Amino acid sequence: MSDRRSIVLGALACVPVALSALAAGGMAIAGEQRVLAIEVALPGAVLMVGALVSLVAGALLFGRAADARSRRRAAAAADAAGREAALHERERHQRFLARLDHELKNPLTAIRATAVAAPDGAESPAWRTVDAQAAKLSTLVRDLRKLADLEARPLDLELVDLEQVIAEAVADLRQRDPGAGARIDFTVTRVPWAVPPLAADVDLLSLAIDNVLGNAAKYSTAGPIEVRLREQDGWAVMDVADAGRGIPAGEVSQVFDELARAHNARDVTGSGIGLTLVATVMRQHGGDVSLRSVEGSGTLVTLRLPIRR
Amino acid sequence: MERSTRPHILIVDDDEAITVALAAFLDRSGFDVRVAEDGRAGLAEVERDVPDLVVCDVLMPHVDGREFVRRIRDRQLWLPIILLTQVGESWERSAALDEGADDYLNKPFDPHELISRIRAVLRRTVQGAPPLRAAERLRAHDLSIDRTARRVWRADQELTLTPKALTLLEYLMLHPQEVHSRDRLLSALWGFDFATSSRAVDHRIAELRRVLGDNASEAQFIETVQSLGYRFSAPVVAG
Repeated sequence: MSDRRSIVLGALACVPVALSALAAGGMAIAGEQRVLAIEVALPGAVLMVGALVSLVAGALLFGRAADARSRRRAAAAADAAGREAALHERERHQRFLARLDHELKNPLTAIRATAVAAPDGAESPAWRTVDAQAAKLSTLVRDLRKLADLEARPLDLELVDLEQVIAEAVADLRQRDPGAGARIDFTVTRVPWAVPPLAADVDLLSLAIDNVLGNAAKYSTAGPIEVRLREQDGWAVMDVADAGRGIPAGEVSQVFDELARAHNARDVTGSGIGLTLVATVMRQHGGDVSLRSVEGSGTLVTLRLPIRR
Repeated sequence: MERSTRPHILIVDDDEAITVALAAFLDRSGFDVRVAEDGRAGLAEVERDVPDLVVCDVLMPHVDGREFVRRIRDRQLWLPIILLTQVGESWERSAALDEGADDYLNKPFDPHELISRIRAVLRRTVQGAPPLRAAERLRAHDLSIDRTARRVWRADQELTLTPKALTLLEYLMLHPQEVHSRDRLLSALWGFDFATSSRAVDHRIAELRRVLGDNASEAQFIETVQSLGYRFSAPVVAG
């Protein structure tokens, strides 16, 4: 209920009391002597008192319910406004990235062509530096564009066995990085509820899973890497936990931002778009990703996908 | 003036900083180069003297790159065209290939990569293969594909493929006897080229082999080229 409405209602509620007080004062001054006597049987009086008390209690309850309703409405409105604002912010951000990409790619193409076209282009260290740095910038631009692509890309849905997708990703990592592969333990909870086949874009989903697994392998040089899949409250939940270096507390909230790289990750090569990509893929599937991490102790990344039956 | 034996390349781009440098680089790499500053000027240049290949930007004033390709193809000119795509979205890539471009490259690109694409496309054309991309139906042995209806047959039996596998088969059949790396197939067909995801290509190749009844060790259609990628080895004809 709005404050203004409360004030108006309060004022209205006072009017009858004020009017009757004025009238009674006037009557007393005029020496009014008459008496109004109402005769009520005792059981009737008891009933009336009871009804009166109930009425007061009822009014109080009604007021509280109305209050709760309006609070719920306000919370829902704030929620919707928050979601809307987040969506707008994301769209604005995407537009900015698209513009940045657009404005950078022609100059970068020209710089790279100029560097290789210079008469002594291949031999001159200066031109080679120009080319190498322009190539680095090109990679950055391309990475940002890949993200924008993913965001705009329609999902190619098919029924996917998540356990199989994860098993393949694990097998792939074992092949690429036998050291890290040997530390991976993949467990699946199937009883009493297994994760059913899900409608998903298997290529994008693999991309997200590969990224999370790859991070666990990259940022933990020793200790187990646990991959767990389970059904929970209508969601397919996948955990990837490592006992690696973790992320500094102050930087955990930024890990899903583009190009964000923690201070203690500078020695490991990476583009800084992996987790942004994971978050994008999960969001497109109606799911989400969350991350808990303690520096020097380890990281737990949780991917969730809704199960629609 | 007599034409030299060097391949003639026409660069169509409205950004002079790019065309000047690219023209110099292509010239040093053994090509004769002409430059047009937009699609309209490009069409006039082709009209004047048909080059061996066109490298064409997409976003240009007057006639843009896609319109340029359409108009060239409308005139039944099958000279190879490489589009320099501007918008990174995957639909732009497949649209570029659908509309009759022979290849595409995303800006910003490595100029050496452009040279290798030009050479590959020229090789394909010099081999005298009929313009497969203009054909509605493609055939290799008893395998045939209707590109418009999106249907595939082996002899008289129709096969069922997922859309991605069908697009991959179409791409391979349009570029027979060429080795395609997984990354290249990914970026051409999926629109992204994250190296870790090349499993996606292997998946679809496995699907194709299963449905076509092809065998990896004795491939009749799709060969695995060790550590390089895949090649469609059967001869492909239009119709």
